[in-house]
Amino acid sequence: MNEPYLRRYGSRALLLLLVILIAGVLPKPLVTVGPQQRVETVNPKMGVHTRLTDEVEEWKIKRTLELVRAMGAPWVVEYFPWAYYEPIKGQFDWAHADLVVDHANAQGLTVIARIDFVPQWARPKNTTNSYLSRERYQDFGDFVYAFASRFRGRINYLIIWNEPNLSSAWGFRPVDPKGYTELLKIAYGRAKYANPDIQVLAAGLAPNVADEGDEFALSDLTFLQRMYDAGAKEYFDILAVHAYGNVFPPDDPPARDKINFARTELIHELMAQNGDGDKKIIVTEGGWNDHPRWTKAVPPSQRIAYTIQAYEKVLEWDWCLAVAFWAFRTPWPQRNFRDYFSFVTPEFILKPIYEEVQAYAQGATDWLEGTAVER
Amino acid sequence: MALRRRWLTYMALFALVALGLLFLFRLPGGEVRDKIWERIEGQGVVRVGMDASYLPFELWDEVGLRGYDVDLALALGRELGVEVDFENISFDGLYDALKAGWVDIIISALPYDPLLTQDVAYSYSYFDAGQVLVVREEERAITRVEDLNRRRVGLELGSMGDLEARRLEQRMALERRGYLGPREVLEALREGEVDAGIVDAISAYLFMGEEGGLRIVQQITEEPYVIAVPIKAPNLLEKVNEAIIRWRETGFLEELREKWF
Repeated sequence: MNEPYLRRYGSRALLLLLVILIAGVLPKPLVTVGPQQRVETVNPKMGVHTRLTDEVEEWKIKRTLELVRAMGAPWVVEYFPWAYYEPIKGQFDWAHADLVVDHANAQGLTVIARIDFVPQWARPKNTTNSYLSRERYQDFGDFVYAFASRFRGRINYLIIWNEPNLSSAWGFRPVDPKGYTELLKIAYGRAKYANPDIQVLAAGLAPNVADEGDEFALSDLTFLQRMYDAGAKEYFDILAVHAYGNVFPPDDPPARDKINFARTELIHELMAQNGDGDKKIIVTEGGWNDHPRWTKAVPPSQRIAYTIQAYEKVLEWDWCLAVAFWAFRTPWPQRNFRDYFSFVTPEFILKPIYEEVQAYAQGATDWLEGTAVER
Repeated sequence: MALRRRWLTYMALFALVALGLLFLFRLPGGEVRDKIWERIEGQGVVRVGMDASYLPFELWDEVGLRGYDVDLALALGRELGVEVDFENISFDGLYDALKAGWVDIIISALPYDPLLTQDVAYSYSYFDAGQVLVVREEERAITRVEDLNRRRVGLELGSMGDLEARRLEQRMALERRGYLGPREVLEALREGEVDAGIVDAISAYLFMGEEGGLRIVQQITEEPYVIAVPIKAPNLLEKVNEAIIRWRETGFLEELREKWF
């Protein structure tokens, strides 16, 4: 090798080596999962629905889950859209889901995963992400298998679909309890094959009082009965329930034509009538809203009282494993009544309800005894 | 030859930059076409979107359409020299109605939303519904939140006023007393149970209008109510802003507040 050649390229090679060395040494993750934490609470059934699906920054994911743990809620429900993780058939990208699950587990939280949202490759053109034809049920089953395998040991609760008793959640087709039961059967088998310990939850149904033949929805009670009629009993371990209180307190008595928190009791009664009363329920959505103008909202102090009283009430329901209220925090403001379901703002400002629920989880009883309010 | 080519390149670049600057900073006299304003002027009608379910700002019931915003919209019509056509739309649908062109303008106790300024343009604020510090009429020692140290402060539990009081609590020894609603806070203040109250401005004005005996000493947080117009209606926005400035100067906004609160 001649000398000019060495002189010319040798220094460049050295520089390149230096850059590689620095690159290999310097970059370190800005956010780490951190040591294992434990949730301190007087009520082990407390939970919240987080909305980390579209939360991009890892520190925000971690901070959200730290706050859930610090509030005293051991359960989180989180949404894992199929389309996000399998954008091409058979090709999976679990990076974001791994982040959420690892941070949640490190905070000592039990994750209940809800999966739906059909990718474009699995549905016809000009359909919505809730449209899944029967011919594609096996594709969904494949995803359930992949998901349950990937998170074996990290996620043991899996909700199959969301509110299939709404036409909008069923591809804007007529609701179909039998069709949903077929989907549940396939998902159940594939989930158990991937992880025998996994608990499969039948979807939370949208609480409503629509009669059969309604264009948009079918009553949750009727839909559930139709599921049992179609043989659903053998294909879920736990039933997910959506329990919104609207303007009623948690102890407001249930009725078929009323949407309130205690409607959950009617759902459990229906399960018992179908020989399924020993099966557990998890409330995976629910709660109260304190928007100043929304007709289904309550004043902020009532929202705090009802939320804490509902957490307490669930302790009496031995058939209810947990209650996860909607929604702990959203990545950005919705700029409408939906913001008034949250416990923490997108900017991580703790709302008074967060601090009051936290105090309850630490043993405070003033909201239960009615002494929190002066008058 | 090469020098000439380089010179031509520099000239072309300079021309491009100049054109860009000209586009960015058009002279004030440059005409900007506002089709929405042209339509309003041409037809002699401005279509106002509002959710008429929020007294004292707007309500449409058996008595008819009435409220602060209704009077404001009618006054705007007079300023613009056109008739006012009201469209009653649910609050969550107001922006869609504006974007779809069903209405020309939203006047509906609308809070300013910085996230929507790509789609709509907002006027100057005509009302601030944020949290206020309220004291008894005769109180002289409390004029701002800094004076709340070692004082009993009433608030609606869970509200934004509660949030503010909790923040203040981190830097002073105030005694926080929670009530079910803003009215209960203000009643407690009037009766001497607390030394001051933190409530939203609407509740404070309503109570003072009905009961008296209290006064606002400080606006603690801001929640400006504004008028929204389409982003492509700069002339309309300019006229709305001119009207708001005039209303402030003439005391019209104050008159409206006294009428409706």
